[in-house]
Amino acid sequence: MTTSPFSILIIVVPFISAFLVPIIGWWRKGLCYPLVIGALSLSVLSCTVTLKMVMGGGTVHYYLGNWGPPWGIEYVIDHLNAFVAIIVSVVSLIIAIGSRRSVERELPQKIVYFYCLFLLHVTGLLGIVVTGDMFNLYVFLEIASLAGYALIAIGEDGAPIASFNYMIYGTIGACFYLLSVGYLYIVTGSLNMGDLSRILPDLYHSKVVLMAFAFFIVGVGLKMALFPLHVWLPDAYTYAPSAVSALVAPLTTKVGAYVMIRIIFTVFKPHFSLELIPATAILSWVAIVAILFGCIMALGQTDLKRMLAYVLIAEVGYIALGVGLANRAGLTGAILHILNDSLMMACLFLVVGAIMYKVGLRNFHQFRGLHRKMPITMAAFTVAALSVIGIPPTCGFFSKWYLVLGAIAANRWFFAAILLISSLLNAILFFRVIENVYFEPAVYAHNGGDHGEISRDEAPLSMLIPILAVTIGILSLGILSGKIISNIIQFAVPAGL
Amino acid sequence: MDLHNTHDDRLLCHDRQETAIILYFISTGAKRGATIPIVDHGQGGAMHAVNAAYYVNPLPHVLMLTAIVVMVSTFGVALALIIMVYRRYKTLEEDEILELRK
Repeated sequence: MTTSPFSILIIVVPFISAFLVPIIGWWRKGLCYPLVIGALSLSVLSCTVTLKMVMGGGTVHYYLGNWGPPWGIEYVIDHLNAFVAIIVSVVSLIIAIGSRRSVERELPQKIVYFYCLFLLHVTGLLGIVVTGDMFNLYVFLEIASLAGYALIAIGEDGAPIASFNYMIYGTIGACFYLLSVGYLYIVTGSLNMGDLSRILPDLYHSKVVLMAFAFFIVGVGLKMALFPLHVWLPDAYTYAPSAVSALVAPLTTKVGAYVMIRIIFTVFKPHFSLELIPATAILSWVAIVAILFGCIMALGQTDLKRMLAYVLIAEVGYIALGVGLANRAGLTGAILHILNDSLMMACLFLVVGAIMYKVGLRNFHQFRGLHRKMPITMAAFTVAALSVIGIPPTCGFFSKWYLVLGAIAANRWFFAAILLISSLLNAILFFRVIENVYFEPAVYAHNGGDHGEISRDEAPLSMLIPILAVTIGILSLGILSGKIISNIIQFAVPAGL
Repeated sequence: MDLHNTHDDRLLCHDRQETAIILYFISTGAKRGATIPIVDHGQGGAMHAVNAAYYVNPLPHVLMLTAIVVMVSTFGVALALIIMVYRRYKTLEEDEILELRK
């Protein structure tokens, strides 16, 4: 067993910096941004070191205050959460770099508080990922969510209402989660995930355990916006400031998906979730409806940000489908899709932020001729769109490929067909936007005379660099996905499958 | 009966749900005939080996201290949001807000 201080630094650095931001911001506002970048870079570094240790020597444990389990809180990092932690830290660092100009423009009075909440949100997400204690997970869940509610509420008109609705749904989800933690605690006397997975198999036929499992799925489903529980998502992510949507959209739902995988396959054994109750079978049907619903609802939107919010609901459906298929290929696809979808959504929402910053438009029918004004941004958009559709060599293709393989391995040809149909729907969705950007003649009513002559006016460098970084990530991780699977993901899939 | 579809009502209902969960957790720590979990106050004082059956389980209470902090801050954020909504629309009725936002 290895212990390493780096596993706690992942959280402590952004957490302490979150409280330093208001103090330093009170003295000099300009220092907040470098502090945030520095803190998140250290977090990325700790995640990388921890991932290296996990790849070298297996699971890393850290006992908080040196209290061993089951008395103390333990951080357990194995291949699955090392992988998710590095996604969360890297994506949030990239979003933080890109946030500078849009925050200065959209929230000039609130820069200091914005960055404080930003770091708290990232701390919460990272905490959810690294902890090995059920109650500690609840606390981090609420830290992340509270910061998220506040971040979303500072958006445009309609944001406070959207945020309030999100808060009601989010706290109901947290209550379900807390109640099931209580149920498991009375029957097992432990809150440690490793302990629970050892004690629970003898109690699998207890009604309390069944209820706890059901409440877990509903609570986590609310947090990850799985189909019937997604109602809060479109409004909240549409009205949030661009930098906030770019942070919460790629990460919050993915971390929820991670918690779901953790509970279904680690806290409860696959034997329980697959054979004793048909939980995964139900989950896969729900996921199929989520995919179709997300794609079809997205077809009806003309606001690009709202359309992406519905696409995100469909993407959550993909991950849930991989979990629900519950075989090696399906789960590999689901875990790989956590990575790919974080990158794709980060890229798309960053592009929306850049367009909002430069042109101030979100309705994609008004995007005509934008490829000449912002060629690099729109090229990045096209790459991310192709990845969502699932065209090789972008990374989106590979996770969908594994999901289709999983559906075939589970003898669910219907699911494989739905995956292909959803790709077609995604193609329609994104080509509507791409057509407007590249092929429709630019018509500018307000300066009627000089039509066709659009000068190049690209987004500022601090926005372009993150967009390019994510785009390169989408292309290169597609090519490297074989390596990622053989080095990390195959160890993250539970042994029983 | 006067049922309003208002945001503050929803928040209060939700608060009651949270209180119920706190009470549920605290009730799980209770034991018949047991005393507060401080060794000096137990039956037989501090001289004997500690018998867990004589003391209520303190862990759920400690967990709920944390949960209360979390819930209070959630409630605070929610009230702040309600104030923001009220300042913007001068009402908290869901239907009226939807009407105003058209």
